[in-house]
Formats: sequence, structure tokens, C-alpha cells
Amino acid sequence: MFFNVFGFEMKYRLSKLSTWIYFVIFLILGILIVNALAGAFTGTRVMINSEKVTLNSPYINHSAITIFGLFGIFIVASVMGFSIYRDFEYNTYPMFFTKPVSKASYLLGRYFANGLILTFILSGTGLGMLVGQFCPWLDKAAFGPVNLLYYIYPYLVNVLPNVLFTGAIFFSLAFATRRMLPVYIAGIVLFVGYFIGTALFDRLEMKEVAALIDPMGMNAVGMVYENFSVVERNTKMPPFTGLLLLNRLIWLAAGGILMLITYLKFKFSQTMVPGKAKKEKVVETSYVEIEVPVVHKDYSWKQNLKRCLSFIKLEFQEIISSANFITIAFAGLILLVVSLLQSNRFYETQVLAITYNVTAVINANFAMISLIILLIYTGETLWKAREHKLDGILDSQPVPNWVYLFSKFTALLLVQFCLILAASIAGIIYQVLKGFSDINLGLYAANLGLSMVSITLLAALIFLVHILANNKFAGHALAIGSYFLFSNFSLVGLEHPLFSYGRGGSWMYSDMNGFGNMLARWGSFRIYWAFLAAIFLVVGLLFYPRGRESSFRKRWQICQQRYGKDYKIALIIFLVGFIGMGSYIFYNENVLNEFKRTKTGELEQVNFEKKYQHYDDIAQPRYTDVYVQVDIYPGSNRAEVQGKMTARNKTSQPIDSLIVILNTDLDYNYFSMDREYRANVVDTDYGLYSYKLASPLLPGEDIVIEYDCTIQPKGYFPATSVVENGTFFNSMTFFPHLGYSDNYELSSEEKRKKYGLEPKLRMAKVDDEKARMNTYISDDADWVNYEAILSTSIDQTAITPGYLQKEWEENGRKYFHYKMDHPGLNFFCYVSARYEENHDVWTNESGEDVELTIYYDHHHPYNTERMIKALKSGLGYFSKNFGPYPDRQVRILEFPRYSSYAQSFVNTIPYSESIGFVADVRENSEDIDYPYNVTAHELGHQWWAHQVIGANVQGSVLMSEALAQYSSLMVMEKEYGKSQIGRFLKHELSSYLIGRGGESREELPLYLVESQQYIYYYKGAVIMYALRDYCGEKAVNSALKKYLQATAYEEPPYTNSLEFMEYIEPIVPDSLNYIIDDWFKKITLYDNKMKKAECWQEGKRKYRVELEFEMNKYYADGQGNDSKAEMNDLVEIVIFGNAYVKGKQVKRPVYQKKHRLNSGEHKLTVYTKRKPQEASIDGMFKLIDKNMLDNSVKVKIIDELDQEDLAQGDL
Amino acid sequence: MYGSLKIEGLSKTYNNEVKALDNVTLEIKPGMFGLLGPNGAGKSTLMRIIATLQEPDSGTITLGDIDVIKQKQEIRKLLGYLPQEFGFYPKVSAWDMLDHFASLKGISGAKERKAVIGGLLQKVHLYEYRKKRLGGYSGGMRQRFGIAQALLGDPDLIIVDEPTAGLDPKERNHFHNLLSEIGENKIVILSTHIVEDVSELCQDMAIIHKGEVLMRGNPLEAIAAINGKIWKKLIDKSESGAYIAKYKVISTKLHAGRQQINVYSENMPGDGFTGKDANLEDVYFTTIPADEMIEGV
Repeated sequence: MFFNVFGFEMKYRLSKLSTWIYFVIFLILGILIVNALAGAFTGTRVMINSEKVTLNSPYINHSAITIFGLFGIFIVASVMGFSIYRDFEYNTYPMFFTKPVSKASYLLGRYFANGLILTFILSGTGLGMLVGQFCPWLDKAAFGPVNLLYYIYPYLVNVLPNVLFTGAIFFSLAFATRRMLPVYIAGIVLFVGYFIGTALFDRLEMKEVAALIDPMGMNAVGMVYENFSVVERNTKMPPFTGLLLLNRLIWLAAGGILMLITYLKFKFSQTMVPGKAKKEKVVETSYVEIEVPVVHKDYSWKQNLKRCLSFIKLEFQEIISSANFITIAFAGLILLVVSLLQSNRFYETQVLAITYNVTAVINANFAMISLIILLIYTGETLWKAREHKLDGILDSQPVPNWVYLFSKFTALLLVQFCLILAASIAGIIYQVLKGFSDINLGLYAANLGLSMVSITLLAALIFLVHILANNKFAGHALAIGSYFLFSNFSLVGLEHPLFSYGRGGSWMYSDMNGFGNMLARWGSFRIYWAFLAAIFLVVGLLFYPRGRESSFRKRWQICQQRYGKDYKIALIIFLVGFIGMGSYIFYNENVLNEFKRTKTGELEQVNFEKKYQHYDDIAQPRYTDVYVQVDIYPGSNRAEVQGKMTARNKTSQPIDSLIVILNTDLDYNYFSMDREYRANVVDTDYGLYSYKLASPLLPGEDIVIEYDCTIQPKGYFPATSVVENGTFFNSMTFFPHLGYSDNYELSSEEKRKKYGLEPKLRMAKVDDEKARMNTYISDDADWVNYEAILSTSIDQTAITPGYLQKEWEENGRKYFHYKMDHPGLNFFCYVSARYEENHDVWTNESGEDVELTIYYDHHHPYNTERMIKALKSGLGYFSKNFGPYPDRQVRILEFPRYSSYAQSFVNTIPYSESIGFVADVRENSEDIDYPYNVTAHELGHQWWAHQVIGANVQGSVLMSEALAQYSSLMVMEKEYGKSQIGRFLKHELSSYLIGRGGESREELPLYLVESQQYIYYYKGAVIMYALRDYCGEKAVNSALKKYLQATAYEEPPYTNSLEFMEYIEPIVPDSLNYIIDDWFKKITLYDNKMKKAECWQEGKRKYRVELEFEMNKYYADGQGNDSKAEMNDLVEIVIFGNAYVKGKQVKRPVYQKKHRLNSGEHKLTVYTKRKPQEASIDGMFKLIDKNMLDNSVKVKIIDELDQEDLAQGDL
Repeated sequence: MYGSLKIEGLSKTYNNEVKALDNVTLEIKPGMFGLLGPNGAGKSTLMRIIATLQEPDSGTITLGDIDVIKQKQEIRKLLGYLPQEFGFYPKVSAWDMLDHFASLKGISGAKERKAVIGGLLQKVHLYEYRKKRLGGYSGGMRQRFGIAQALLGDPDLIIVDEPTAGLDPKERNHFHNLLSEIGENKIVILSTHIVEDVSELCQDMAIIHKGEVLMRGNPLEAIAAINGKIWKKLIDKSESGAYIAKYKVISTKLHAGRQQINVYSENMPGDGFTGKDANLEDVYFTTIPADEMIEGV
């Protein structure tokens, strides 16, 4: 019997066109995604993680197949739900239910048949991706060898279980409600559930929870891939064990239980309408014949408007009172709340509930909810009358089309408005509950308004699509299709923003600078699209369906009847507006600025290299003295620069021509040199100029270059450097560059190959003597003298490195004269804003004062004391252990969040408003104080970069970034203790592991690190801290001190990491010699796993803990292939117990000792005095561990003495 | 007050090449007009075209100086329409639904609306059910509510499309009373396939079949024209084939287990036939081509 039902269902489904259409859609999407990734449309490959990750790798396949599977959930809903619903829809249920079919065969036959069909449909993606890679026009180099298993595995692990589990939900729901909408709503809820899981996934501490609660199992897979190296991403599939297995089992079991319930509840004697019919109220009145009065009818415009308003109310109530709407909105609010609680963290420490952070979370989460509601309810509201067969009556009413259309349109927008309003209120409540009082209601209002603009534009498109489709389901399908098409034309090669409907420009709100001028470009695009949206609506009115005609010919006929003078005028006005606005945008994008397709940009880079690379060998003078006058006009986003820079021929040969590169984004109004010259090459496209000097510059001779330039965005482009409040830019933007620069060259290995360029090193080899003649900061200067005059508006303070010589007012503007008293790197910043100031003083050992100032925005006073504290302890520790602080001042300057970093210049540290200033480090908590950390790190650079600067070769950032990390960790440890460092390092380790999976070329060992943040920051922090832990603080610091003394302010050739290692090696005891090789010179990964910990209490303060653990060490190559290594290494065993700090329970070590261990399984017995809770191997994360989640286990207490035993024991 | 509704040369073909209307010309004067025809004759298409819901391929319709096809908005102001198939939002009460329609009709004053709706609901005997959800209405109540809706706003042109289909005799009777109360100076077009609807209500009628107007005129005159030419006989079922071959059988019906056949003949056919008083049904069956009617048998 089961097979009869199964077979019938299969035949039914296979005979339906929709089955094949769905399959073909996924097939095409599969082919398209491969093509899009490989750059078939734009000419450039889309990078996922790294260009080393092949496009048919398990990682890409798994990601793409599961993501399409996620969207496929709606098809699962439709197919599974309908398999039950159709018996009720077509009233065939009595026929089925009266047949001698067993319950189990009826239910399971249908369930499994549809499950199989769905698997077939969803297999389209994999098949498409498999076939797609053979498209002849695709670059074969982007693909690895084909392995069928890479395509099948994601289905076995994710898609198939998801079909079964989600299918069970839909199946049961359709059965329980006999309606389809709840089924779709469940689909949406599951869909949102995945995003809730993803919101949690961003938190290191919540990863395991996120991996389990995500019903799609995508996070569980993501978690494994996250720690995969590039090679592993290309060749390995996540093993079906651990959290992944658990996740699948949990959700499959949930599905099974649902099916069981359905089976038990299922009765063949079902009637159509479940539940009891409500008794209707009948109002009894005596029958009186009333004369129907003669009425007065009013069809005036005013009446129609009134009617429109009352319809808006009706439609609005209809939508918001529907259970489905409430479900979606509720799911959205849950997503919002989870995101608010989980997002915006750095190192697990929350960010203050700053309004712009809250609105950003609202926008990120509600954009999806808005879209879903828009897509569903456009169809619902437009076709509701037809579904209830009320269309005949409504359509023949004397109501103009616009009343119908605009009432529905506006009602839907009103719903959206209320949703965002509700979300904003939730946001405000969240702010209040978090005790954050600086609530920016204006921003909520503006955000609401701006969001509504975007939604309105989208709604116009979706309404038009539905009206033209003239059918609910076709409308839904076309609406989704056109949404993706209209907003993603860039993916198919139409990169110009004039093509992407509803998009173009973006805005970012900053507490310092408000909206800045960012709404100019954004708004221009929105006006442009608003004209198109208006055209959409007019066309919608012309085609607004009234009556039964569905053929296009007839509809065109009706449209012509309607098309009168008013329509014509409206269309002309909107069209003129659309074209006018489009021209204005084109003028701004293409004439005032340069619009480049990605590929054009690449070609320009190629040509630059081909044309000018030979200049690289021409020796150039080097800057020695820099004098600039920078006049900042915050109100007009403009800065006028006048520079006078002296360069010296430091070579032993005369120099007869000068190569200068000027930034093409700026206008240079004036350029001259203090000796005769003539221009040989003037290439304004690339800003490259070659000047032949009339008399060569002899060795030791100076040349003075003077120039004027204007820094200002062109046209309506957003200003992010010179802004109304919070100007921040650096000297690299406008200093004329002397000599050829390879910064403009194409760096991607794959692209260089594509364009036939020679392979290029990402960075010069560590021992490249020529490259060692430059620092990695600058290739046209060594140490320069610096002097600057800054001016700005009267209410602002303008700052650049150096000491303030004089401050005055002139012509209603403020002037500042700064001068540095010792040479420094040729790298300066320019900052101007309305500042509050927090002053303090630190006195060094010889009694000299160092002035400390935090310049901050009045919105952000929160963490300035932490910064001061970090500066003070940093200055104390660093000057004692590394060498004296060379300056008399440290200034921290807040700048707007257009960038989110801090950057150290001599005695001056610009610091983004989005990081430390808005951290919410709670007192009496274990929160990682990252404002403290970042401040100390930047201060560290005053030694490690501004005194010791590595050459422009591999490994040099080790001596700046990794040492700044180390410096910061040392003061953090003093302030917050070692356990905070342990938690900090866990984050660093995780970031390192994630980072290496995105490596685009070759992972390098720490001492050869190139521009690889994941190595120099994250791995650097772990290794340098471990070095100190294994070799001792004193030893490490003394080595650093010696190294600094030897290399500070040195002239070329500059130091490299080989030299640095010469200072480190002697401090490592012979017994630990392996750490130099393993940690610095090789890529070494440990895999430490605690398996079991059991405890017996043997006395009042005596616990015996028996541990079982396993450890291994691996050496990896640059691509991530690893091989097991012999080990006999020191590894720390840490057992944690509970301690109480200020009344709060915290985790503290009760046992901590390094053991020398070789690889493999181990058993170990140790004794602790206090009760153990958690046993770990390398639980403080001092070693680079492949899998940091299995390092510790809960200690199982086997035997605990009770008080009586203890009392006896004491006797 | 707008004079008569003039339909001239109206044709409409659907995509599947079914001719729904074939060069229909009719003049409909104020009063109750019956449009009689079997299912699929094109009645509803004609009704919908007049009700502005469909477009003819050719032909014109005018009411006074209003071009019905082009000036849809104008005709809608005069129209009361009860479609053949209709429904209402099931969760809405009769009162609220009617209030909504009243507003659509242009009745702007709330007080006025209240009076009109109350009056109409009384008239269709639904006043006591005014707060009931429309989803809970029976077929007859729904139909009466439909007519109340069509009468809203005192329309001058009222179109009721197959209003009595599926009603029991009592309900149908009630419905007829309702229709008969509509003022004489209004054009009321009643489309139906039930002969009694027309014979009971209409002074003027047309029979339409396969998109063509086959007969046009006053029902009483039409009956008079065939009176004395209709003959009936009770026969055994098995004999019907022979009779159909021999006579112009216009209709057959079962009568106490035997079959009664009605034939049209100028003269008495003999053969056991007896004379029968002609009624509108006989007119109808005489008009509709016989071969097709027999197929139905």
C-alpha cells in the first residue's frame, strides 16, 4: 500500500510542470553562480575568502549548495505543504479518506515521495555547479580537479536532512491547519531562525550554541570550515562528527517527532474545517419597512481622496490584524532583539548602545523582514478581492483606479512604517535598559524616513510587477525575480550604479559628523529612482486590472482608453525628471569623477606597470625636510595645501631626472622646483611626471619642491576625510611621491597571470639588500624634519604631529603652528574637530613631564579615563623596559567612524569613534578592556615603528605590529591579570585560524610575515606572549631593549627580522630551542585535546584529578598542507576552579603547570587544593591550536567527601 | 432618465476562439428586461461588458450620451451590478461590508449611509443579521445581500446575472419580489437560464444562444405567437428516439415515470398528441435549435 501511494505521488509530481521548472531554476542558478564567481559577467573573478580557494572546492560547493538550499526552504514548504493541502483545496479528501489506505501508507507515502522529489529539485544547484565549470569561456585555473563527492556530501549532510526535517514541519502544519499560508509562514520563521543562529555565530562564546540551534546545520558546517586552511578548504570536507552530527540528529529527531504526532492525530474522518464553528450573533429587531432614502452621491476629487484615506485604514487594519503578519513581525522582532543583544562586540565586550549602532542593527535585520512583508502583502492586498470573488462588484464601482491602487500602496507603506517604528521603539527600550541615556531621537526619525524612501521605491517596483503579471502567484515569482535582477545588474556586467534600481550611494551616521554630506549622492540617486518609481505607478494605474480581461491585447486596449491628457502630462514630467536626474548623476559619476568598471581599472593598472615600471631603477632624491601649510575649511569639505619639501640626493651619483607621482584624485594647482627643469613625461591619467633637470642634482645636494593642491571630493561625492566635524587624513594622500611606486601595480597572482604580467612578489625577501634601503612606510624618505601650519574654522582645533609653537586667530579662523623637535618617519596626519579635552600628566623617572591629552567628541566621554590609564601604565612599562619615551606629549584624537582603526603618528594617535570611545566595559566584570588594549598598542608603536622601523621586506611588521601587541598585552596583564590575557588570546587565536583560511597566496611563518594581518596581529600576539611565558618577562624585555638600542632611528639599510631573531635566540634556553623554529620560523599548529577529567576528593584540601588527553603537533606549508611532527614540548595543563572576585564568581586556575609531553595519548594524575571545575590542556591559549574548542572538559566529580568524613579526617 | 441602453453590433471572441457574442444588437428600455439563454450562451459576457469588466472586440453600447465602453467611470456611477459568481470577505459583517460599498458608490455622508444601509437591509430581510459575518450566510442570504449591494446608491442601470441559480423555491420567490419592487423607470437586466424568472418578472426579453440573439420581444406576445402550436404526449422512454425522428420535439420531461414529449407543429399531429397551453418555456425551447436541446436529453 505504501508503494502505491508513493508511486502515485511520484507520478503526480513528475507530471507537474512546476517540479521541472523548480529543478531547472536551481540548475540554472548553479550554472550562473559558477559563472558569476569565475567572473564570466564582469570579467573579474569574485573572491570568496581567497583566490586560492578553487571554485569547485568542497568549501565553495558546500556554501553555495546550502545557501541555495536555505532559499529552497520555500519550495520545500510549497511542495510538502501542498501534498497535504491539495486534498482539501480540491475537495478530494473524502475520496482519499474513504479508500482502504492505511494511515501510515497515506502519510509516509506522500512524505517520502515528496521528500525525494524535493531532493531532486534541490540537486539542481549541485548539478548546475558541476556542469557550469565546464563552460568553455571560464578560466580553468580557477577550478581544481573535479571530485563528485564534493557535490554529494553537502546534500547528505545538510540538504537532505533539512528537506526531511523542514518537510515534516510543513507537512504537519498543512495537515493541522488545512491552509497553505501558515506553511509558508513557518518557512519564513525557519529562514529567520537561521539568521538568529548566525547573529549568535559571530560571538566566540556562543559559537557552539549557534551551531546547534541553526536548523539548517549551516553554522555547524561553517564552524569547521572556519578553522580550515586554504588547502583544507580545497580538499577536505567537514567530518560528520561532533557538533555537526549532533545538530543533524537533534533536528532530524524533531522532524521525526512531528511526523509521529501527525500520525497519531491523523484521522480519516476529518472534516474540512477544523475547530468548532463560532455561533454568530443575531440581532433581533422587529421588522419595520423603512423607505430607502434617496441619496446624494459625490464623486469629487476631494471625496475620492477621503475615500482613499478610509481605504488605507481598512487595508492597513486588514494586514496588521492577520495572524501571518503578526507571526512574521514577531519573528523579525525576535531577530532584532537577539541581534541587539549579540552584535556589536569586540572581544566579547559590548559596545555602548549608541543610537547609530542600534539603528544599524535595525536596518540590517529589518531590511529582510520589510522585504518579506512587502513581497507577500503586495500580492495579498492586490489580489484579495479576486480570491474572495469580490472583484466583479468592486471593479464595477465608480471609484477611480488611483483610489484603489494608492490606498493599497499607502497601506502597505504604512505597515512598513509601523514596523520600523516598532523596531525603533524596541531599540530605544534597549538603550534605556542598558542605561544609555544619550538617545538620538533625531537619528531614529531620520533613519525611519530614509528607510521608508528605500522601501517606497521597492514597493513601486513590486506593485508594478504584480499588476502587469495580473496573477498572484506569477506576481510573487516575478516580483522576487525582478527584485534580484533590478538590484543586481552589476553581477551581470552592468556595473554603473545608474542601473541598480533603488540603490546608489550610501550613508553613514557619525556622532561627530552627523550625516556629513553623505545624503547628497544617496539622495540624488533616490530622487532619480523616485521618478522611475512614479513612472512605475503611472504605468501601474494604466494597467490596473479591473474586470476579467487577461489577454495582453485587451489590456493594452483598456490602457489606451485610460491614457488621457493627465496620464500623458504625468508621464512626461516624470520621464523628464528621470532623465534629468540621471544626467545629473552621470555628470557627477562620469564627468566630475571617473567611473571605472572593475575590469577597466585592472587594465589601467596593467598599462601603468608596462609603461612605467622601468623607472623603478632610476635613483631619486629623498625627502629630508617637510613644511606644509594646510588650510582646512570644514564647512565646504575642502582643504588647501601648500607644501615646501626638501629632498636630498643621498646616492653617490648625480641625479638628472625626477619622477613624481601626484594623486589624481586631487587638483594640483601649482608645482615647481628650485632649479631649471623640463617635463619629459606628463601623464595626467596616472599622475606620473618625469622631469629632466637642467643641471643634475649632485650627491649631497638638495632640491626644494613646492606645490599647492586642493583636497575636496568632486561633485556630490561624500566627503570622509575633510568633513564638517572630524577631519582626518594623512600625508600620503597629497605628498608628491618621488620615484616609481609599485603600489599601483596589480597584485593578485591570478590576475597578473591573466594579463600576462610577470609574477610579482607580494613583498621583497627578508634579505633583499636593495629593498632594505627603504622602510615599509616610505620609499622616498628616511627620517624627516617636520613643520606645519594648520588653519581651521574658529570653533575647531587642528592638530598634526609636533609641538604647538603658536596659536592665533586671523580672518575669523584659527591657526596652529606645529614643529617636531626630532626627525621622524615621513608620515603625518591632519585632524580638525570641535573637541573636548581630557588632560593628564605622566612623569618619567628623571622627573620630566609628559603631557597626555585625549581630544574627544562631547558625545563620547565614556572611556577617556581608561585611555589615560593605558597611556600612563604604557609609558611607565615601556620606558622602563624598552627605552625612554622620546617625546614630551601623547595626544589621542577622536575621528569619525568612516574608518574604524587607531593609527599612531609621532606623539599623535588618531583614534576612530567607533572603537574604544564607545566601548561598554562594565566595571567589576571580566570584560576585556579593549580601549585600554588598543591605546596601549598604539602607544607601543611609539617604540615599535616610530623608533624601530623594519625595512620594506618580509617579516618587518613583526617588529612593529607583533611587538606593539606584545607591549599592550604586558600592560594589560599588569592591570587585569593573566586570566584576561587567556581570554584575549583565545580571540586572537580564533582570528588567526579564520584568517589563514582566507590566505590569498601563501601563509608565511611569523618571522617572514608580509601584509598578513592574521599573522602579525593575531598569531603575533599569541607567540610573543607565549615567548614571554616560556622564557620569562625579564629575558624578553631585555632582548627587546637591546634590539631597540641597536636599531632605533637607524639609517638605511633598515633592520629586518633576521636581525631581530638574533636578539631573541639567546634568551631561549637550550631545553626550549624548538620554539625559535616552531613558533617563529615554521608554521606550527598544535592539536591539544582534553578527553576526560575525573576527580576524587581525598582530603579537605586535596583533590586527585585524573586526566586523559591527546596532543599532536603539525607543521604546515604555505598552502595549509600539514604533516605530523615529532614533539617533546612543554605544554601547560591548567585546571580551573571557582573563585570570587568582588562577590562575583569567576574562573581561576587551581592548578597550572607546564609538562613536557610527546605526541599521542596521555594519562596524568595531578592534585589540587581547591575543588576543580574544568580541566584543560593549554587552556590559556599560549600555543597555536588547530581546534581550540576541545581543549577543556568539565571535571567529573566521582567522589566528594561530605562534611562528616571531613570532620573525621581532621581528627 | 437616460433613455434606453443601446447595444449595437457587439462581438466578442475568447482566446480559445469561442464566439461569446456574435454581432449582438439590442435596445433595452427602462423596465425589467430578461436575458434568457442556456449556460454558455454569452449572457454573462454581455453582462460583464455592460458592467465595464470586459472589452468587446467590436460594437458599441450607449446609454443616453454615455459610451459605455469608453466612459467606464461614467457608467459605473449609474450601475448596480450583481455578478453571477461573487463572494465577500468572510470575516466582515454585512453592515460593514455594505458600508464599504456605500462609500465606493459615492455616498459620502455617514448618516446618509447609515439610513441607506439600514433601509436596504430591511428590504432584503437581512436587518437582523446585519452584524453576522458574511462567511456564515446561507446561499439565499448571500444572494439577497448581493441585491442589496446592487441597489445601493439608487442606480439607474441594474444588472443581475443569474441571481436565482441554486436558490430554493421560497428563496427564489422572495428574490423575485425584491426585483419587482425596483422602480419602473430604471433599466434592469436580468440574465438567467431559468424561464420562470423571466415569465414572472419581465415585460421585455431576449433569448440569446451561442452569442446570437435568437428572439426579442414581449414574453406575452411571444407566447401568443406559438399558442395552439404546442402538443404533448406521454410515451415510454424507449420510444423517444422514434418520436424525435418523426416530430419537431422541443422538450422532453419525465412525468410520473413516463416521458412527456412536447412537439411544435402548426397543425395537430394526431398520433395521440393533445394540445398544450403554450408558456414561455415552450417559446424558449422552440427558439433554441432543437438538435441541441435533444442532445441535452
